[in-house]
Amino acid sequence: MNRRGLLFRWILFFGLAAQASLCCAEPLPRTVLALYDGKSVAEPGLSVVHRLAEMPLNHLGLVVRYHDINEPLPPPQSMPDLRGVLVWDALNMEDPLPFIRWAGEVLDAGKRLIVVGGFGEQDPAGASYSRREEAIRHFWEKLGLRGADEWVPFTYRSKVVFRDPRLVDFEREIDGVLPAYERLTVMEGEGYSCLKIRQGGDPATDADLVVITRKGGWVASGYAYFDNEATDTLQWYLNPFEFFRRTLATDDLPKPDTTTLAGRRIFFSHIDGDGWNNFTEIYPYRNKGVLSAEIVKREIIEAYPDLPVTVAPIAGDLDPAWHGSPKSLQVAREIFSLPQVEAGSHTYSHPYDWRFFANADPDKERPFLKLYAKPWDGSGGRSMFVKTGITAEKDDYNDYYDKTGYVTPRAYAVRPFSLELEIEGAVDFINALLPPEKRVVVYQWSGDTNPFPAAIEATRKLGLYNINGGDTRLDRKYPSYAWVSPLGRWVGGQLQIYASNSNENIYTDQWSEQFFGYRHLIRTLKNTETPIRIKPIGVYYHMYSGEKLASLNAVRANLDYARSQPIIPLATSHYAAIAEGFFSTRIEKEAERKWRIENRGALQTVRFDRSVYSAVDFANSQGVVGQYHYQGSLYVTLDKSVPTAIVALREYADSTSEPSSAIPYLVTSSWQIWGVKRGTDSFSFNTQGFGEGRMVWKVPHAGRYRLRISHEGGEAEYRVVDVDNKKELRFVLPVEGHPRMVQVRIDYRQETV
Amino acid sequence: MRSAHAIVVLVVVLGLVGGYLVYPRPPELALMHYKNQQYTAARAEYENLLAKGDVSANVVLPLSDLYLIYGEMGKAVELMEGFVEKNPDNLEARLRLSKYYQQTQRPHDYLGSLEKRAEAQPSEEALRHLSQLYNAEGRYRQQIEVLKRIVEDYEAKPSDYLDLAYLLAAEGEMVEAADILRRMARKYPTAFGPRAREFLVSLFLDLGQYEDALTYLQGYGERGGRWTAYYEQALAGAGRYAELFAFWDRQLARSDLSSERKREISYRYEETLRKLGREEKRLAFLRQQLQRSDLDDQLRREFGERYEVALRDNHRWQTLLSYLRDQIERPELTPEEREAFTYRYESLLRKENRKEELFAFWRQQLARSDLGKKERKGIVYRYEAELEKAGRKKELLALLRQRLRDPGLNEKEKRELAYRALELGDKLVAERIFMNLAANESAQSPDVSQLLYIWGPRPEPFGVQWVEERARQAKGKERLAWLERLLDIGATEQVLKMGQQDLVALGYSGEPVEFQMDILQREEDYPRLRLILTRAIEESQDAAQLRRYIRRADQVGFTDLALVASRRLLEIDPDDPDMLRRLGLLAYQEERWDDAYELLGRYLKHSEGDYEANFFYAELLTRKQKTLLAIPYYRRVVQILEREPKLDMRKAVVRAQSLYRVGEHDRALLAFRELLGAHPENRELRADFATVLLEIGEIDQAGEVLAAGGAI
Repeated sequence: MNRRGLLFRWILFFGLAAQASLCCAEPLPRTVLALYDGKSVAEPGLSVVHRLAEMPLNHLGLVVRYHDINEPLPPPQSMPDLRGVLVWDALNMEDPLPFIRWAGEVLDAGKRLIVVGGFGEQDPAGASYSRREEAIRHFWEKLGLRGADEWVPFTYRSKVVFRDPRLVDFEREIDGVLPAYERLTVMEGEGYSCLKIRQGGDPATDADLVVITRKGGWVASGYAYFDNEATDTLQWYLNPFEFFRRTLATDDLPKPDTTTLAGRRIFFSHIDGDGWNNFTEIYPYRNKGVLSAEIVKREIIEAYPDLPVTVAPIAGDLDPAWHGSPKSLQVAREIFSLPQVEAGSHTYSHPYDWRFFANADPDKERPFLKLYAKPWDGSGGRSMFVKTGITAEKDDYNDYYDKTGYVTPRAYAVRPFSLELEIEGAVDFINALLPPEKRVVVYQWSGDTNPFPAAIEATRKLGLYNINGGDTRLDRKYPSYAWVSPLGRWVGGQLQIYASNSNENIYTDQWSEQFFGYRHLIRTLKNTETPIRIKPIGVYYHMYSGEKLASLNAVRANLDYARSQPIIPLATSHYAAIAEGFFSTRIEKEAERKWRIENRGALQTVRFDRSVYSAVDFANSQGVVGQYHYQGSLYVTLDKSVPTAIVALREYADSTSEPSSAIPYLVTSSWQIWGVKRGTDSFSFNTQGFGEGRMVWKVPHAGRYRLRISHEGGEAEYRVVDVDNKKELRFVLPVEGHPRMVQVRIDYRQETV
Repeated sequence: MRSAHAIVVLVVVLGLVGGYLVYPRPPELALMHYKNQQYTAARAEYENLLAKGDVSANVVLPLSDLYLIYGEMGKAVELMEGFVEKNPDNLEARLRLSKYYQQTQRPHDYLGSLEKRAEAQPSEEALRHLSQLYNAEGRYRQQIEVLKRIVEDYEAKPSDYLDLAYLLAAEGEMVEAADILRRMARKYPTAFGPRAREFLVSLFLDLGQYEDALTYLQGYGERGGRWTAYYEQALAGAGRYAELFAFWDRQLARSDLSSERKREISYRYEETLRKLGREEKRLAFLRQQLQRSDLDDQLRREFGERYEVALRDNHRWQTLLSYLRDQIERPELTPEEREAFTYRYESLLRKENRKEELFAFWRQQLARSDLGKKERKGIVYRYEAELEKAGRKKELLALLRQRLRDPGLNEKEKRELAYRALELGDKLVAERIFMNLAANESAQSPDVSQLLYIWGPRPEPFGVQWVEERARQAKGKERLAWLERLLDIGATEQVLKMGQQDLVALGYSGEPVEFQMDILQREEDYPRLRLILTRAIEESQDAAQLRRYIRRADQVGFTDLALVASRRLLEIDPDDPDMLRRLGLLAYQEERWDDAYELLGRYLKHSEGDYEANFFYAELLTRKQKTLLAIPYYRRVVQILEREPKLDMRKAVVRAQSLYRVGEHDRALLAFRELLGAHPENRELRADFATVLLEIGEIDQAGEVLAAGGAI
């Protein structure tokens, strides 16, 4: 490949953010290149960086791209959006010299380099003075560390002599049997040691195991997090937020935020259609042929009209030629006719093992056909009522089950697998059940939620958003940010957006017991809100929750909790669009404390951390709707009608209330706000949302404010609201039957209240 | 009828009794609702039973499940806890409570329930589960206790032993950790892999149990890396030095071992010998290493250094001297290496006060043809210093002469030698060197200067001839420079002679007589100069020539000759302004008023003149009572002087007087006052000022001025 070709390939590799960087001024780099060892992990999605580190990096506004360290490494000049490189336990290679040379170029280009782990445990019979070792020594020195050519295999004589509580002992204290380590020390003036370990009280044996250097950072292998597979315990030793903030110097970067809109926490909900046709066991409907989907419609969807929900049936569950019935179709039509319901698709045949179908070969599925009801070879197959399709019976255990945890590669096999049928076919089938104004807008991945690139691409070609996967939990059973997923997963240049929370299948041990378990979602929702908001509220479940009272009550409990919170309810497709906006957002620094935000799609919040004493300088900003201080961060709401927003900040001394301003601005709203126009004595905006539209605006002065509320369709309502000395204009817009756009104009003159 | 009644009554009674008997009682009713998933009704019935005091399993177990269905996790747990408390032996209840704790995410309670279960009914599975939970909770002490129980009471796995050993060691219980590992090795010899072995060895070494360590190191010592280090440490710790040295000998004999590794071994080998005080063996070892054929330069160097240290440690000075001497002779040495050896050899000789050997060594070294320049220089420097210190001047000079024979000497070095010879008082050698150096150099070169310095102000004829010869060979300015040199050494006659012979060759443009005058003037031979100058003035008819004579006469202070020449010049050119001024001022000085009046008048007729000529001429006019005619000249004096930025005192007085003469009394008085202010001690000035004041009638002021000066 010639050089030009090579460069072009890297640009493609860098996707949306890099493409954006091809025009105009230099954007603030947001990409972290994560090098993983393709010989150890089958795909980047299984790497430690994806599982553990990408979420904190996303929170810091950074996009992670993956590259197999065994492949030729991209030249640094081909990565204009590169902020730094993260190598996590991927350097245990036979010949590290090419990597070391490349890393030198990266550092020389002024990019940050973070290494977790080293070049592997020293062979007890190995020498320490080969060319390889020499190059490794040089590498560490370039990063700001000095090697002592010593591997400490047994640490019983090693004790921690210094630990910086801001950076280590985050979720778990470094204690007990310390992992073996390579003895490196930070070079004088080159960095800061956050964890120092000493053997037998001898300072000459000191090793720095968590280090922030001028050029990046280093964490010894095993000192980033604790892992006990037997108990499913993962806990951070390292504070990843603080460590990455400092090693990647992210304070200069406004963070595109996917958790918040109009100052409130985003709420969205979606249902996978699994169990649609299961008869409910709930009294008094049991034994009366009432479908679980019917119960969910009646007891949940209709009972919470203020909370939008995306319903995604499995087409095969509805199609009478497969496993559907007129009744299942009828229930679907009734559900989709509800105004708060958005239409999604949860596949046609419900693949469990997506990779099985990446290169679809019908013959590959033949051995499984006997396990399906109505198999496509007409053999009759098994007469069973397919529920979730993953419960194995004794006879079903085989190699495939051992490998994947599934008995069959998908739930239904009425026809040989076809990607077209799975995506477009399912969407077409469901579209036919929708009222005229609706279309399927979201594709919800099934099974292992691990689609291959062509599948994601097929959904994009239909203009669909896609979601699922991630399985975030942060509760007493999984008490660690390590179980909180990143925003999504890039695979073969395609972007899959993860659901922001796990579903009831996980909480009920794959729908096998503790059917009340989904209630524990509330703990995750609380823990991902405080002390930092890292996820929206996502209530994600299946139709089989309508089968049992315990599960139905659990869903209700979660929705009741969501209702009790200051949320902004959005459709699932809206959240997915926001998450996609995170990846495309381009940020340029215009001046000190002034940024230009572009290419952000549906993402309308940028966050500034550690900003208690900062406020928006509205006079020098553009396309900014409002601001809200929360938990030490400043959430700035942007106007979706202004493609290029400019955010300028100023000092703000009083941290007790939102700052006064001669220019009216939004503090919080449960409906989205856009098209804000500010006049001399008035301002107006468009708004739309679910439930009541509760909003708080900061206005220039106390007095009487006149509101003209024009509904889409004509009629206008007039109101007068008095504002006291807090200068907060609070009002509530009534529930709309269907979420329609409302125009609000607010006039004000300085009048005595 | 009665019987019929009785039958009816009986039937009713039986019906009532039967109805009572078949009608479901509350527990059955509750269970019926529960089974039928009529949870609300079932819950109400169970709660009612509970309220009535029924805390049997039939009530408590289903009711707790119902609470979970309604999400009332706290109530479910509380109910089960109460039940288990009252029924501690009910295993099913315990299991259920434990599960509740797990399902309601109460990890600490779950752990507590497991602990109780494990206590009541210990099992390997429960203990192992407990161990993992303790690990996850970071309760390592408890994990140790559980693992100990597993190891003691059950069929522990290899991983149990390892986990326990790691935990014990981390807690500082190294003896126990080693014991556990040893038990593991016995029980699971195949699972006792290299890692466990290394761990055990490491513990033994830290515990000082070297023999035990060696037991587990059998067959590992030669594996290299840490294994070998452990083996060596263990042998040394156990005092098995014979084996240790034998091991090292074997290692060093290996051809496949890297030189780095060999270096390491040899270091430790020698260090061990040193620590053991086995110095003879130490020296022998190092000698042996130095003789190895496979040594690379680096290693040879290092061994050599260590051998030297060893020799010094043992005060083997003679051996060390021999060794160093041998090293110096090695042809493959770089100059730097040789120098280093030489330095150490010399230092040692010096330390041992073996001066003659040292001198002999130096002589021998200097005789070597392959000696580098820098090395040679260093040796010479040190040799000389040492000779000088010893006061051995004769040898020093001999060394110097010997050095002079060196064909490779450059000029700078020759010069240094010459200076050194001078320092040592050998002028002859220095003279020879400088003559040699100056042979082709110009008259002003430092070497010529140095040579003339050596010869002194009046050199031997040989020297004069040498310079004269150089002057003769030179041309133009260079010859003049050489003539200067001749004059410097008092050879005036030779110079005059050479000058008269060939002025053109000298590049001299003037008359021969003036060359003569130049030489005589330079040599301050004033009588001869006066003679020649007098004659020349008398004979001269050339104005330019006469001007030169006047200048020369002025330079040497022949004022009379200058006057004669001036008059002569004026005869040739009566309007020569310089001569008119010069003679006019002279006449004024000599109070020949008429001459002065006439000459200065002619001078000022064609020229503005300077302030002196104008002032004196004005004064002459004033003397002749031509005061009105004098005024323009006084004015010109003022004008000329006021053009100057700063006036000295003489000029300032002349200006003040001129101002007074032209009638500008105020300015004149001001000027006088300022002058007097600056020079209060100047009596003449004070007198002049007082005179002026008197002349304008300011008698009081005149008196004050004089009084202030103490004149009254």
